[in-house]
Amino acid sequence: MEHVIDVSGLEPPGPMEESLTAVASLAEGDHIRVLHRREPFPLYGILESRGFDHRTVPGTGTSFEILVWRAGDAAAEAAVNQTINR
Amino acid sequence: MESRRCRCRGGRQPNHQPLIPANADLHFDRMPPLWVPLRAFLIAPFLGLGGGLLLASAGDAAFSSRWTASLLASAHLITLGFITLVMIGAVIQVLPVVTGVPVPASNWVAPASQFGVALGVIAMAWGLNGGLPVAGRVGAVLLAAGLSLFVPAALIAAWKTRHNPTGRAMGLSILSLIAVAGLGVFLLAGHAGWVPLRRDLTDIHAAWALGGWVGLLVMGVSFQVVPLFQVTPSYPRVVEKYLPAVGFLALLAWTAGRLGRWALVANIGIVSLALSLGTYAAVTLWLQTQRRRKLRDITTDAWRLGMGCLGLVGLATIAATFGVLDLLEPRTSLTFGILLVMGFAVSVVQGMLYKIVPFLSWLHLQNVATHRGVVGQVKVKNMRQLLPVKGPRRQFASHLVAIGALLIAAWFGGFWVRIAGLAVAVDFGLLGIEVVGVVRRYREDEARILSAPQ
Repeated sequence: MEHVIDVSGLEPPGPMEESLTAVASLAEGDHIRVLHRREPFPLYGILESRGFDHRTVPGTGTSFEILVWRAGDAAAEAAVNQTINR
Repeated sequence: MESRRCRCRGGRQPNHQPLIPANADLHFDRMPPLWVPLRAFLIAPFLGLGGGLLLASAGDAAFSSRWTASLLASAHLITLGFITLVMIGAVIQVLPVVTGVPVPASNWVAPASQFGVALGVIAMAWGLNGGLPVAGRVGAVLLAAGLSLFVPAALIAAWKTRHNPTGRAMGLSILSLIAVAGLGVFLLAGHAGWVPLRRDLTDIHAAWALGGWVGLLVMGVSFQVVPLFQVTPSYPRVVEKYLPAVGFLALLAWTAGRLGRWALVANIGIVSLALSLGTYAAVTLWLQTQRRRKLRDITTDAWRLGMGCLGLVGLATIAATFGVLDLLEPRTSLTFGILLVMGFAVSVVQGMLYKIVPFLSWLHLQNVATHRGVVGQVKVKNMRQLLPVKGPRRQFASHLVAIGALLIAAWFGGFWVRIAGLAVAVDFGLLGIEVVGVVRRYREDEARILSAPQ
């Protein structure tokens, strides 16, 4: 299941706080789509350290969309691949 | 349907083009430690404070012309000691955060260059103000050494981010810094008696310092930090793409015109520079009216003040070029310098510090909590807790008082110069207290996180 959070109207560190709070409660098979105005470079390192994988794609309504799931969650990764290739 | 391009940290997507180069990944391990920029941010306000105290001790004599030794020493403590030191720290730490590309060897380049610039400017101010040639010579050597470490590293980082408007503007500003440093060392050598003192190069040195190094760097950094921290729309693409280059070429044309005594070329150059900086100021002010969150914010106020002053300086430059204003008249030239240095550059840098210092502290606290394995168990201080709003408001009010006092001193002289010097010292002193406060709260929170049970 995909959960969408829009952090594009927040000033730093709001987007990162919201993103980290959201990913902390991810259930198995789920992923989060973060709608962002900028590419959040510092977020990537923290996500990796906390056991998450991510992909960044150009957004439709916002400049970037970051898809995040728990590392090793094959179902979530497959869902992310599917949504990117759609 | 064609797939969207993606940048991956998870599984493999070999058919997808990366959004940014793969080696541009940002990891905390690749970011310089927090102390690398913080050291500069902590020292810089106190060098500015020194500039204010020096002015206060010199009194009326300092403002008798723009050439007085005490005014030159005080101005350099502010422009080099405060503005340049913070800018070096900002380039080294902010560039990786906003573009994902670190400055090479920043762990030792940053402290070494900051050490050289900080000690160099103190020695230089001592040499200029005390008439002690040996101190001036030591200062020149230390400054040249410090900057020659920073410049190549920053140029490499700027080259790697040349496809980014911030990287391009930064590259041009660092090229300007080479001109500033070269001319500055030559002028210092003149003061030390090693070569004939060429006062005619002073304007060129100052223009490259404030229009090129500071102006273009602020422009480039603002393409990222204004939309990011002030939640405005992005700068128009044409502004990002062409304005820094126009400013740089205008400076080149003006310099060639001045050195070659080609008045028309010089006039076209200086008017183009004024127009490019003025356009940038106007666009920034317009973007600020488009903020998504209309909450009052000290950084936005400081940037408004800075952009307003930059616009005035641009208008004054054009007026002077067309003979409407005499910038050689001492009071007018002092007013021009005060608006440019304290009104524009210092305001913008102070406003930037109020975002960068608590943000980087918060970011590093997140990293500490992650590595300690206590995420979710320990609540990390937020930015408002790291930097409560009251102190910066009080400091910004003192900054306005300092600018007002300096302008009065420029026109009325007398005891006003001492008062203005003290006001400048209070302005920077309060800023220093705020930065120290963030660092103190950071250390408290870091200790709390590290002592939390895993």
